[in-house]
Amino acid sequence: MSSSSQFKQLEKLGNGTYATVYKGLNKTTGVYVALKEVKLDSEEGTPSTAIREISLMKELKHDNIVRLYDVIHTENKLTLVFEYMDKDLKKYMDSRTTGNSPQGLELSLVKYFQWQLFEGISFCHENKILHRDLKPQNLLINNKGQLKLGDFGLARAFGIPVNTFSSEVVTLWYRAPDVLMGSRSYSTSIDMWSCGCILAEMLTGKPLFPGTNDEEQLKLIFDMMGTPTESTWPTVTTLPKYNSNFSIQVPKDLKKLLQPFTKEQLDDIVIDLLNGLLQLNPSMRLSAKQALHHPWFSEYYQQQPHQ
Amino acid sequence: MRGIEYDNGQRRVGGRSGELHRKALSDVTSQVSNKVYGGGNTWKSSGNSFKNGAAKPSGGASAAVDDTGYGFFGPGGDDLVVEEDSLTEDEGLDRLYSRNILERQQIIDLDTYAEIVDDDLESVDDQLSDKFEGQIDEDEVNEDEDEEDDFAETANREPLSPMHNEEIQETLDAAFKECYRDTPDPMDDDTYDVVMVSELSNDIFKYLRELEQRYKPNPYYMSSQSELKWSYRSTLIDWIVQVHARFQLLPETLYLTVNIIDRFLSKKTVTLNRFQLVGAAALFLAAKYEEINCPTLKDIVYMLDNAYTKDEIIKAERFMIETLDFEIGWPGPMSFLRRISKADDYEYDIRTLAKYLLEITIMDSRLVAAPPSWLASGAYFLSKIILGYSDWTIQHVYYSGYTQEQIFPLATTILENCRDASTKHEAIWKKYSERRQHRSAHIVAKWITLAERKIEQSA
Repeated sequence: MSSSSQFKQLEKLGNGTYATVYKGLNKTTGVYVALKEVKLDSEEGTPSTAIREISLMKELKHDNIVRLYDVIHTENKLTLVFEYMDKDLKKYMDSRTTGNSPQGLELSLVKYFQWQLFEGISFCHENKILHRDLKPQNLLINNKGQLKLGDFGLARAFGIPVNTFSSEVVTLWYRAPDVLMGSRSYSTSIDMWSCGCILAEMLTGKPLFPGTNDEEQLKLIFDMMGTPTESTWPTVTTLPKYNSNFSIQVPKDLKKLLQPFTKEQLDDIVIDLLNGLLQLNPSMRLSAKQALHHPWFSEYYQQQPHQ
Repeated sequence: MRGIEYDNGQRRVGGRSGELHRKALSDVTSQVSNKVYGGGNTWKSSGNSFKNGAAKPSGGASAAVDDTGYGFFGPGGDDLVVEEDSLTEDEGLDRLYSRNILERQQIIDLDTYAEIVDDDLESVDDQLSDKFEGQIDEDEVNEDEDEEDDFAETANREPLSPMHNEEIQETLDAAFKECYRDTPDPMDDDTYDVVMVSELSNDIFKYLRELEQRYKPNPYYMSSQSELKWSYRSTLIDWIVQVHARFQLLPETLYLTVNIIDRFLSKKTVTLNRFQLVGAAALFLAAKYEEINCPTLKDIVYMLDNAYTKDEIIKAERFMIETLDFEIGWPGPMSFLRRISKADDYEYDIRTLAKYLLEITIMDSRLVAAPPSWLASGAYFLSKIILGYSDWTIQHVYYSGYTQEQIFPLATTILENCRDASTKHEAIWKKYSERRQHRSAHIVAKWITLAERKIEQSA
């Protein structure tokens, strides 16, 4: 364990789910780091979010997951020392926006980012960890074009079968329909829905389902992907917040809807991938492993024979 | 050694009946209260002994390699005598079960067993309750009980672990060859169930087997704990089981709590007056990791009967997290148990009964460092035998990762621990005597009674 005097605290980078993040400089090595400071509550001791984030991130050493270097535990605060990344995907997309009309990223860049996102989340799932808060703000990028998963404050380990967990997870816009309808027996598919939302957002530069509350969020999803029925999604009517009065919508053509906002012409292959990720029925949704084998990425896995 | 025990009220630890047990706990608590609230500087001084424990005479580092003195917890020849006694008793047990289980003759003929149960269920019930009540009455007046406690300390407490040899490896390899699939089986319902994560389950179980080794406690840690004994650990865990049940926490939380306690004690020595604090902080930490809704610190203080302050618990938690270096992700046995039961198409009764047999393993000091995958297999196998299924097929070998030869000794140990269940693991016995736990403890006790009767008759 390092001591806090080893690091010089620089500017504030942002507020995480339960902490404040600063840029820091390791005075002995001259390397920049991100310092995530967690205030220790005198009421409940070390927060469960910090316990989980640290213990899980110690297990996750992967090129597409932000590396936790060290933890400094003092009387009233806990400082997590992370690998420094230049910015998050949200800020990056914002910086590329000209004027008031958002526009997506270049297709080749979207593909490279999305591939790295799948690599990172696939590694989490293989190590029995759910992220549960994937969104552009939690995907960190550096000047080399690397993308890494960050902020594991909502993450948790799962067993098999996956126990029921809280349905109060994932930022609303990226939350899967099964979870929105109150399902607590979700699994790795919860992260895959978020990956689909992120892919669309990178393509168009704007969030796919920007709802303001649970009902509106479901409405936006069903308007685009169609309203689920027992035949398209067996057991959907048994979910706690299923409402038989949902307005009946048919699935729309994603290509038509997204095309006006993208930088380049969309091909059918990326739309197929998007449809695979945005399956309403969680058991139909693509897994991270399957997504990595999707034809859209053929140029990558041909380069990597071990895949 | 005994004299000291009489003086500090500890001889009742691991007590034989509810009342005595409660007395033991309150003894511990009041003793702790005196120490904590008695002097002005207590936190400081006891805190120091808590923290600097590693510097105590019998240092922790040597314990792992130095097992020469293992089994002798006190000075003097007394222990030797007790150990001889206990060996005799041990041998008796051994004869009883080795003749009938270890050599793979059924304890009783299963058809006869079923007959007896059908004909005689009520009378067995009565006999059982008489037996257990009788035992408790007897114990309350029985002054020999501290010898029993010493027995628990000095009997053969060598840690148990799965044996391994070439032949076993061949069986395991054969099972793998026969049952392993690279891709999910389209004919298997699990393939379509998101919570079974079937695409990743092979990899994940392999990883869990790695983790259970990585987060293994040192089974010899008690020899470097100058103020603690294994029987105190039993008392502490018995209390944890009660608190855990009261808060209605997940089974995963209970197993993780015990693992945290044992791993912590493998690295730090603890004074007796801080021992319960270790248990409370471990439970608090495990609940934060596992639960959706965690008990509050106020709840924990209440369960401790205010023996420690909030601040002390927070400090202990912090110290514990640092000692474990934030490595909390020990897998526990529940996923393994479910996995094995796939070999019987997730048969409900076997798994339900196995949950009781699995839980009592946390009381046995010889199983402190036993891998949870093995414990789950042993409990499951014994459950099958008790319910009248004696097969351990190649599927069982594949899904458990253990051959019958590897789990037989463990199943025998668990069965031994089921004798006198109401005293050996009182809180677990009570919990599993309830209807909502399907009275699993009673089913096992009945089976033992019937088996013993059968053996007597045949003798």
